[in-house]
Amino acid sequence: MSIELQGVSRRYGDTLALDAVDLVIEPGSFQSVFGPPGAGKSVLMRLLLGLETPDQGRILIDGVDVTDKRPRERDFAMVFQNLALFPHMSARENIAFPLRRQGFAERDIATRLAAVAEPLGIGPILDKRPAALSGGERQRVAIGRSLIRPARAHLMDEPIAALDARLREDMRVELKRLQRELGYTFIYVTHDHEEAMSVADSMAILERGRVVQVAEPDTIYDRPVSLYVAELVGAPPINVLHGELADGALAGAHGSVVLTDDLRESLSRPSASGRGALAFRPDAVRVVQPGAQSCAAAQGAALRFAGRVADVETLGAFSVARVDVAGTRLRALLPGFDTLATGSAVTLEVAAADVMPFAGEGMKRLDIDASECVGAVSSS
Amino acid sequence: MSSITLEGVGKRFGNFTAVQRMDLAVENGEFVAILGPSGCGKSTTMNMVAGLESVSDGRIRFGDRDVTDEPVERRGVGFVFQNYAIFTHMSVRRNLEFGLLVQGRPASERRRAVERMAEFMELTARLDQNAATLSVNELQKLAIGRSAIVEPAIFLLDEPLSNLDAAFRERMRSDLRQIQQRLGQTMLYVTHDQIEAMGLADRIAVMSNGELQQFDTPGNIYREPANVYVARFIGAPSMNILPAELVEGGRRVRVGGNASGATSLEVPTRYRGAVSDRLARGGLRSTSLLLGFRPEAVDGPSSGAEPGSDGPGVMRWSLAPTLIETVGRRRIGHFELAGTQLRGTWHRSVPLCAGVPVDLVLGERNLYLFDADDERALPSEPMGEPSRQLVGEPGPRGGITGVSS
Repeated sequence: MSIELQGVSRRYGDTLALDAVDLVIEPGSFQSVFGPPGAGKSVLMRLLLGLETPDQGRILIDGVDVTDKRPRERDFAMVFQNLALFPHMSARENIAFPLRRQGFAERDIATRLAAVAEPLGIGPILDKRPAALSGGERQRVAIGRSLIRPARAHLMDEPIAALDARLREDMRVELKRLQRELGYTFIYVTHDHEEAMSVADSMAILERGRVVQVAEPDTIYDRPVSLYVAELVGAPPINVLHGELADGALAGAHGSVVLTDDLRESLSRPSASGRGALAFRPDAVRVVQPGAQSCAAAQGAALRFAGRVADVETLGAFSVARVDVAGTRLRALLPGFDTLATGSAVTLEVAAADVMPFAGEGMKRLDIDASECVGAVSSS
Repeated sequence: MSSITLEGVGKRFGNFTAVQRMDLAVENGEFVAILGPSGCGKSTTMNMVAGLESVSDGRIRFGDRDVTDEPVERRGVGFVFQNYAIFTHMSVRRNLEFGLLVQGRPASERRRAVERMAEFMELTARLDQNAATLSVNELQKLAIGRSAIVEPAIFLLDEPLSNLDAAFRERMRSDLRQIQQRLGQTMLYVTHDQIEAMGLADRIAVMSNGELQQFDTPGNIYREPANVYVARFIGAPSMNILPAELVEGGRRVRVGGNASGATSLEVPTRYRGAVSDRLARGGLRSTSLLLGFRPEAVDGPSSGAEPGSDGPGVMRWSLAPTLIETVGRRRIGHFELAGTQLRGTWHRSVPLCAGVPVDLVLGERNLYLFDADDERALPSEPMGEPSRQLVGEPGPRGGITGVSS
C-alpha cells in the first residue's frame, strides 16, 4: 500500500505553502517529515488526510488516485498536536472508541488495547479520565487511540513534542517498536532533527514548501544535497566555512584553505565559482595538541587549521570544544570528559572524505549528482 | 559579588513539602545549576533565594548578610525567567537601559553600558526598533542583557533557554558562560535539561521530590553519581540499571537471573571493600544489588580486540539488539534482559543489526553498584581520572588525539 504524492502544490493567497512535492512512502515504513516551522510539514499532512485539496498534483494510494476522495475514504489514522480526548470517557474508553465505532468485537478490542497500552506505559492509568492525567499521559492516550486501529497509514504531527526530553527519548523507541510489530506505515512530522533521524527508515526534508531530499538518515547526515540540509541535522551543528571559490580553492575570512586533489577536483567543476562553502561535522574534526603526532599523513587530512580553544562544554558522554580559527569558530566533538585548557593552541584536522563542498544558487553540494536526491523537485 | 548560603532551608505549602530542609553553599562567582524534573522544588528554591517566596525553615545568607527576612527589592538580585517580561511597547534601547534608569545612573554611563551590552548580544542593529518586532531568540537575548546590564552581584535564571530552538540554545549556552566569566557574578540557574546543567555549571545541585540528591561538579556527578536517581537523570541515553545478585561469596555479581543472556562478572575492584563489609554485616537482602553502566561505556576500552585478549577487569557480554536508533554517527542499540530494557551506543563503524548478537565490552571502572533497596551508590575507592585515548591512536572515531594525561 504505497502512498504517493505527485507534483502536489498548495497555495494560500500569495504564499506557496507546498511547491510541486513528489514523495513516495513505502508500505510498512517509518517515514519522517522534517523541516523548520513554516516549511510546509503540517500542510502536507492536511493534504494527505484529505482535510484540504491540492491546487495541483495528485495523491495516489496503491496507484489509485484519491486526490478528490474524502478523509474517511482514505482510511488514515491521525494524532494531532492538540489532542482531542473525550473528557467524559476514561483513557480506556477513549482508546477503544475508534474500534467500538467500527463494531469490533469486545475481545478484539481488549487484545488490541493491551498491545498498545503496555509499550506506551499507560496500563496503570487506563481507568482515569483525561482531567486526572498529566499532559504527558494524555498525549500517550491520544497516541494509543490512533494506533489501536489498523489504517493505511498513521499520520503523526509532532506527537511527542509536548513531553519532556527524557520521556521523548523513550517514546520514540516505543513508537518504532509498535510500528514495526504492527506492520504499520508511519508518516511522522517533527521539527526535532534527532527525532526525525533516530527511528526513521526514510527522512523527507522540507524547505519552504519543497521536498529537497528524501533518503535514509545516514545519507541525509553524510551526503546532504545542500547546505540547508547539512545545517538542519546534527548536533552540535555542522561547521561551515564561507568564502569565494576560485581555482579549486576557497578564500574567506579564515584565510585560503588548501585542499586535497579530490576536493580540488569537485571545486573545479563549472558550477564551483562565486560564493561557496566547505562544511564538516564536529564529529569529523580531529583535535591535535602540540607535540602529538599528526594523523594527517596516514589519513590524508584535507583541511588543517591552527587555532585556540575558546571553550569546552562537557556534556557527559562527550564534550564540545569551540576553537577560534582566524576569525571563525569551529566545533569539535571529543569523547568523554576532556580537559582541553581554554586558550591552549591546537591543530584541527578533517579528513577529505568528511569535507562537504557547497556552491552556487541554493548552496548545492558539488560532489553529488542530482540523481542522488530521490524525490527532489526538478521543476523551476 | 556575593556567595549564597542556604542553611536548612525548606518550604511547605500546607501539608505539602515543596522543598525539604536543605543546605547549599554557592561560592562567590560560582555558576550553580539546580537541575530536576518539573515539580522537584527547583523553582521554589530559587524563588526563596530571590525573596519571591518566604522560607518555612532555615536561613539564607548572601555573603555574611542574612537576607532571610529581606524583601525582594532589597536583595539586589537580577532575574531572567522563561517568559521574558520584556516591555514590548518600548524600544530595545529603552528595555536595556531600564534597570540603569531605575538606579538613577547618568545618561552617558547608560549609553555606554547599553551599547556594550547590545554589541555583546548582537542587538546593535535593533537598538531603536520596538521590542515587539524581535524574534523569539532576540527577545531572550534582550531579556538576559537587560538583567545582566545592572551587573547584580547575584544573577538568577529560571529556564531562560527553554523557549529557544536547539541550535540557538547551544549558542546561548556559550554566551551565558562568557557573560559570567566577564562579570564574575554568582549565578544560580534552574533547568530541567541535564545538557544545559552539564554544559554551563561549575557545580550542579540535582533535586528530586523536593530533596537535594547531590551537589557536585558535572564531572563528579557523571562519574560518581550518589544514587540511581542521579545516575539516570544525568547522561543521555540514561544509565542502564539492572537487578543483580552477589554470588560466589561476593566475588562476582550475577545479572539476568536465569534468562538467556544472563551473565556474571567480577565485582569491580573499587567496590570490593564495600561488598565484603556488606556481606560481613549480613541480613536478608545483603546480596541484592543494582548494577549500572552507561550506554556510551559499552564500546569499551579494548573494543575491536579479539575475545580472550581482554585485560583484567574487562568484561565481554554478548546480547542481540532488538532495535537500533541512528543519532548522527552513533548507533543506539536496544536490548532486553529478563524484562529490563538496556541500551548501548556505538560508533557506526561497529556493525549493529537487530537480532544479531554484539559484544558489550565493559571495563570495570564503567560499572556501578547500588543498594537494591535505598538505591544509593555503594561506597567505592576513588577512581581517579578516566582513561584517555592513547596518544596518536587514530581509531575510527573523530576525536581527540595526543592528549597527554
